[in-house]
Amino acid sequence: MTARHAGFAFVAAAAFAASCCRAAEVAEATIAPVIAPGLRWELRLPKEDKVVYRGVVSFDGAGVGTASMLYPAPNIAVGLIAVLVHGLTNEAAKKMQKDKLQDAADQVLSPYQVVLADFKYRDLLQRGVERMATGGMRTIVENARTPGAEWFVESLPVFALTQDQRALVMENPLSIYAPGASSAAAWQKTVKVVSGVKTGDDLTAFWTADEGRNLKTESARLLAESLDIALGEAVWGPAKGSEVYQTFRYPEGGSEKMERGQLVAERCHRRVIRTLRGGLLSVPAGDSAVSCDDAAAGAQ
Amino acid sequence: MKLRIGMVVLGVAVLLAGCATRQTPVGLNPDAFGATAGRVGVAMTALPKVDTYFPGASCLLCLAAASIANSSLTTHAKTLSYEDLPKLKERVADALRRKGADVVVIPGEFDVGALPTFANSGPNVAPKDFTSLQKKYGISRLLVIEVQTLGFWRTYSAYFPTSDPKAIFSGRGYIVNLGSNAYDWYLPVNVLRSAEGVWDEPTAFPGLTNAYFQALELGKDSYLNPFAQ
Repeated sequence: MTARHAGFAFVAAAAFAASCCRAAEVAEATIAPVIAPGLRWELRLPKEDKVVYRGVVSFDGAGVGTASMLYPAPNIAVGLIAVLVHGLTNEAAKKMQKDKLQDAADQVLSPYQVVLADFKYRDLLQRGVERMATGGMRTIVENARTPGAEWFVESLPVFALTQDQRALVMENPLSIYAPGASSAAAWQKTVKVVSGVKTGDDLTAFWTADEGRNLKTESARLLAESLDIALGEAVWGPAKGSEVYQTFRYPEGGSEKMERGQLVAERCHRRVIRTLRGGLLSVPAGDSAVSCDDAAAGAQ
Repeated sequence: MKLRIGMVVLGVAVLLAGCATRQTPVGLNPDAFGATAGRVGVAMTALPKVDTYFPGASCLLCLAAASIANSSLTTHAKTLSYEDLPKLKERVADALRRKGADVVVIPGEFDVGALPTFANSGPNVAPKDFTSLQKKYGISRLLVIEVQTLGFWRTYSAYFPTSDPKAIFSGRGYIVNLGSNAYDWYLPVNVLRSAEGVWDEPTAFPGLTNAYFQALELGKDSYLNPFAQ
């Protein structure tokens, strides 16, 4: 194992150990053991103010049918216009249907509006960096700031709640600039993190209690994990992982999901998968042979 | 005149074929396998090529336009593997054995079309005559796995797509009682998976490729789950 790979494995193990092992309930803030205390980096605030939450949506049933079409064509011009109008109305109908499906999926968040109304990215990022493992000096900087002498991270995490409210999913497109390299990002990928499965009779109450403490804590935990994974790869290089493509199964709330990709790391009942799009996906893996204790030991 | 009569006969045949009743699902008969059920054969038909399908592009020109518009996806579809799908009949056979059934796997690709038509049609009776297989393989029932469509499915209305392409796995699974030629189980399988996010990512189409492998897994599950419970 090269120093790069060891570094990434080290970060991944500590990140998992710090943030991934509670399935039933969100615990209070856990400060991860710091990895590479000499590493300094900055996290830029997104332009957006309020943290974006959506409902998890499926477009598997989308489509507006296969109705046959008889074009009125008294002459070529009218025929062509009829064909063009048909094409435009089709596209509009497809878009309208997708918007409707997303709007319907977002209804799951109705009971959450009160607690989410004032949840700002500044608050989320602060909570997130407190739960991270990577680097001794982490600074949240304004959106106007540009990359400079430190590692510099741009991030825009977007969250989605599953329809059964049993899991939170975060997609975080990230750009990381190496110190002194302000023009081009050294690392640019989307990291997606799926929370563990929550259980309970009243999950709305669970997430929203105490001004949404559990929802905000879990969101921060997912953000922290995505930043640890991204920084680990950007600073120490990609983990070697497996070269074999597999279809991985994992729980997303009460549903079983699948993702085609390569295994990057497996720690503490979680897996990190490199997806076909080249992004990274961290998912619960109840069948993982590597326990949290093993992961923590490996991180020592 | 002969030509006219021929056309009329053809037209009536097409109309009647269109009105033919579709086989509805038949729940798994628990007596279909087990200690007293006799030996069960498990067969699988030839797998279709991984390809693209454009239902609704109904005129020749429409189909040509759809084929051209999706040519890079079609090229990509042909590169996708079956993974372990060809071994599905062995996995189904193993699941049946775990349920206590005496199972034999029928080797090779099973050709349902080569069987004669069954004379006594009726509800939940197979249209093809499977009864001769009782002697041929020494079995009392035959479980057939038919995968009919595999690849990407995009609906059209004449020249225009009415949906984004989706991964498709469709087929059917059934158990025929070789004494009565009736179904002891009939399950239509129809899995459609959309790409997460955008789909139009030539030439590797990672979103749709991911959906394809998801559909492949879900399709296999459809045949295995009834015997896993």
